[in-house]
This record gives sequence, structure tokens and C-alpha cells, in this order.
Amino acid sequence: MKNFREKLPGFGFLLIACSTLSVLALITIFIFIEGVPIIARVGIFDFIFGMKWAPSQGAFGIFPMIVGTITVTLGAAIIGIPIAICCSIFLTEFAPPAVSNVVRPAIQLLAGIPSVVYGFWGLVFVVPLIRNYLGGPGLSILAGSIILAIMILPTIISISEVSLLALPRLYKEGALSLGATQWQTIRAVLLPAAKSGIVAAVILGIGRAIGETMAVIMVLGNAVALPQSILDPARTLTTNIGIEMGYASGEHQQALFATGIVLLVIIMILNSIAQFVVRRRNG
Amino acid sequence: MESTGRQDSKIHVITREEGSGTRSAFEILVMGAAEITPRAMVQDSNGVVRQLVGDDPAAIGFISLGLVDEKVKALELEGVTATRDNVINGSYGLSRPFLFITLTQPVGQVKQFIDFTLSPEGKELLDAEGLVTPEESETE
Repeated sequence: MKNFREKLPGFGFLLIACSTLSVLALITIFIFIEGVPIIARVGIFDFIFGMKWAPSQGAFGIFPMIVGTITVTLGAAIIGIPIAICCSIFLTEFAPPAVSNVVRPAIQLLAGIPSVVYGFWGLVFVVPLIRNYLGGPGLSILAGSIILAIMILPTIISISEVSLLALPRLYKEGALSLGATQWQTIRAVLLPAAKSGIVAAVILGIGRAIGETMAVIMVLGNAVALPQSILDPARTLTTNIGIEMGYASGEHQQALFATGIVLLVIIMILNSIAQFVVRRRNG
Repeated sequence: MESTGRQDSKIHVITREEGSGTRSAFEILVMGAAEITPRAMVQDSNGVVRQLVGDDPAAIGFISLGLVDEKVKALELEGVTATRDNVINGSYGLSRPFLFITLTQPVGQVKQFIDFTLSPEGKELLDAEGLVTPEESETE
């Protein structure tokens, strides 16, 4: 009886854990059931590399959106990653406690702002700035990248900060006692030692950027053509689903689910890379 | 081009998403066999289209007459201004019906609602929103 009582909670938690997994499985199965027929009909090559998206004419090519996703995410990474890593170095190595105790919660607060608020701020502040000073319609890859860069900051900063803090004190003390300056210690000892954690932080941040929808819909312009410059409007895989799902039916709806499959595969690949990097550190 | 006030800029075309009723009406009434450029920016509501056109001197888009306000200018079509009267008398050609659809003959609250829209009180509301009421447009 006692044995049973001991095992019961474990069994209960197992059930709950499985129910979480089953949600993932159900969503995946549903998306595939809805999306695979249209990919089969159009052909996987023509679907992924097709240049024209016009569901009312039966044209289902998502290549411009794949390019849109990659460029917007890359832009966000280029703007966001250096800021985030510098910020985490500042918080762990330079900031006096009085400062870091204000900056740290403030950064975490960034993560709590709803994405529609970021999008709205982008629309009324960033977009007119770009339109007036750089030209083009303002709604652009650049606007999307700037908004996403801000949105991925908390993810990257928190995880890199944790991995920097997790380093044994010995590393830093050893380097300093060998006569290295503080900057030399950070650059040659601490950053390389925390590399895998920082890489994982970056990948998770990129995953967040790829998945973001609402903020991006508002500032990206959502044009279906292949963008020619960073001042052109573009459409990502997520915004394609977000903007068209409302009125879609039949094959159009299937094609949006198929867009979801492509997105799911991309994010699964990214998460696997992050897992692999983190495991290598721990293993 | 004078009305854009900025002749050195490309025109920023704004359209609605695939599947939108406003877009399909625009495609049927205006575009015909031609295609809206894939370079056009796509927004998912009349309100956002109005907002963007209102902010950007080089932008052009299409929205329902009922949503036109002082922030944007409704263009003349072959010399005819976009007003309720011109839609009613048929001289402004870009109009389309809004439809109520039900699964069966409307009953209960659904019927009451439809009757309300067609009642004098409902018509007053539609007028106030800049929309054209059924009987008026039937006379065209």
C-alpha cells in the first residue's frame, strides 16, 4: 500500500506530461492532414520554390515568404544579437549591483509586452521614420527586423547571462591573477567558456523571431513579391497564415496549413540544433 | 500626380488580403482580367489601409465609402465624386452589395435583427455610417 502511495504521484505526473505531448502530437497531425494534400497536388518543389502566391488563381508558391522569413530574421539577428550579448556581459561583469538590479528586471519586462503593442509602436514610430529618412513605403524588412530585434533581446540576454554566471569563479580569478586585464579575461576566457550557452541563447532568440506573427504583420507590409531591398515590404511564413486565414477556405486554407508545415519543420530544425548545442556543453 | 504632393516618389500601392470581400469587389469592378501587382502592400482591414494612406503622401488604396474620413481623399471616378447620392443614382460605378446569409429562413433574433436593419431606425444608422440602404440602391 505504501509502495502504491509512493508511486501514485509519479504516475499522475507522467499522465500530465503525456497530455502535454499529446497536444503537440494532435496539432502536428492536424496540420499535416490539412496541409499535405495541397503540397502533394502542387508538388513539393513547386510549393517551396514557386515564385507566385495567388490562391484565387490557384498559384501556391511560398518562396518569396521563405526569403522574407530568412531576411527579416537575419536582420533581427544582426541588430539584436550584438546588443544582447554586450548587455549580458555588462550585467555580469561591469554593472554594479545597484545598476543591474534595475536593468535586469527592466529587460525582463520587455518580454512581457504584448506583441501587438510592439507592432503598433513600430507602425506609428519606426515606420514613419524609415519612410521619411530612408525612403520607400516605410513598411519594410528593416522595420520588421528592428521590431523583432527588440523582441528577442530578453530571451538572448537572460540565457547568455545565466551561462556567463554559471562559469566557475576559478576561470575569472585564474585569468586575473595571471595578469590579464578585465577585458582580456572576458574576451579570451569567459566568452569562449560560455560559448555553447550563448549559441543556444541566440538560436532560441532566432526561433522566437521566426515564430512572431502579430507585430510583424503590422510593420512588414506583407507584399507577396520577392523583396529587392531591405526597404521593400515583404511577407513571412507566419504573416502569410495570420493575414489570410480569416477568409480562407478550400484549397486556399489547405495552402495556409501547408505554409504551417514548412514553418514547423524550420522551427523543429532550429530547436534540434539548440538542443544539440546545449547537450554538447553538458555532456 | 499633383495631388500626391510628392512627385519624386514611387506610388505605394496598398491592397487587401486574398479572400477579402473588398478586394474581390475591387478586382471584379476595376481590375477585370488584370492582376493587382504582387509588389502591393497587403493589409488585413479597411482601417489599416485608411491609416497608411492617411500617413503616406505617396500611398493609394481602396476602402469602403462608409470608412472614408477627413484623413484621406476619395478619388473621383470619371469626374464623378464618391458620395452616397452618386452611388444611389448609379453614376459612381464602384459599389457592391453587403449580404446577410443564413442557413435557413431567418427566425427569432436573427429575423428581428434583419428586420431592424431594414426599419427606418436601422436605415438612419446605416446613413449615419455612410452606407447606402437597400431600397435606395434598388431604384438604380
